[in-house]
Amino acid sequence: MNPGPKKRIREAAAFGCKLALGLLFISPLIVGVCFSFQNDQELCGC
Amino acid sequence: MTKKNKKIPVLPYVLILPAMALFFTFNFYPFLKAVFLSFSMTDKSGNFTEWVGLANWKRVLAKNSFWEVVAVTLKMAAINLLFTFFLALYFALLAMKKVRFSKWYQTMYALPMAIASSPAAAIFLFIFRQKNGLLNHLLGNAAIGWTTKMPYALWAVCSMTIWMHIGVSFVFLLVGFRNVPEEVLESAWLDGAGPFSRIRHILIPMASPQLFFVLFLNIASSFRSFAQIKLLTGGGPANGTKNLIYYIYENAIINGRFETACVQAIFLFLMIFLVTQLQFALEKRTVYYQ
Repeated sequence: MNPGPKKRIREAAAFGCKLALGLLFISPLIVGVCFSFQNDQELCGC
Repeated sequence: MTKKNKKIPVLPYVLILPAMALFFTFNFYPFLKAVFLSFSMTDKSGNFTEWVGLANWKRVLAKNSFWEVVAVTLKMAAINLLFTFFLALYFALLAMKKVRFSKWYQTMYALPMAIASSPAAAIFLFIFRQKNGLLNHLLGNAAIGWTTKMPYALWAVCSMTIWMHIGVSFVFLLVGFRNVPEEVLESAWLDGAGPFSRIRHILIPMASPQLFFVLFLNIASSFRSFAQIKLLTGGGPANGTKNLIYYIYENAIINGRFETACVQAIFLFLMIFLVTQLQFALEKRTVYYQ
């Protein structure tokens, strides 16, 4: 494998990691958005 | 021009008058009144009734519960400050390099700053609650009282504060790091400097004004967490998450003891003032302005 694709794969992996970290960081927000679609009964699990 | 002909310009003073009036009404006046009320007795509505001198101060400072609250305040402030600063620093270093689609994760790292504390507290309550909470569910239907048992409650409150404050610090640090000229970093790389050396010897010194500002911002905000405590734990369990701001609110609004609240408010002011003065004293030695 020549250095070109290797570098590109490394950059893509770094980008993926940063994006995954970002998604993990805003996961409470995603949870909040998901909860907003549920009604009170579903939320309290009764 | 002779001294007699010299006119004092009036227009600038007229222009700053509205801002000064607002600043005096909502900043200086309440502060001066709080200082005055801390030396007097008040009724339940916070009106002056009697001058008592230092009696309020002696009473408040002699209470063990007050010093316990001060200890909790300092502990929470230290946790919030350290984690917010270092996580924001880490995120800023990750996002420093501009690449295609880098705005996606930059936006993600900064997003929580756009959320108000009440909805954020509602979300974290859903996550942390003991019965049907998301975190307990992820831990295999565990029954941990994240907001009702120590030390979990303290960490629950701090995690929400940190999550909310990282965004602002991240934006300022990112701007600081991106202002460092690319050529300087490149020449350091050519001289054999590794990533850690470049961060330690180039990025941090050159972005030190932003680092200083972020520290200053976080010190002030980490002492003043209120909404998350009120909404997540209510100061409990056993006053384990009760900080000075919440104690002041409790004394003034719930118990109607305005004079006690004023003493505590002035004490909190002095605490933040001392820490920021210490920081400004260190500024001359650690911050480099170009």
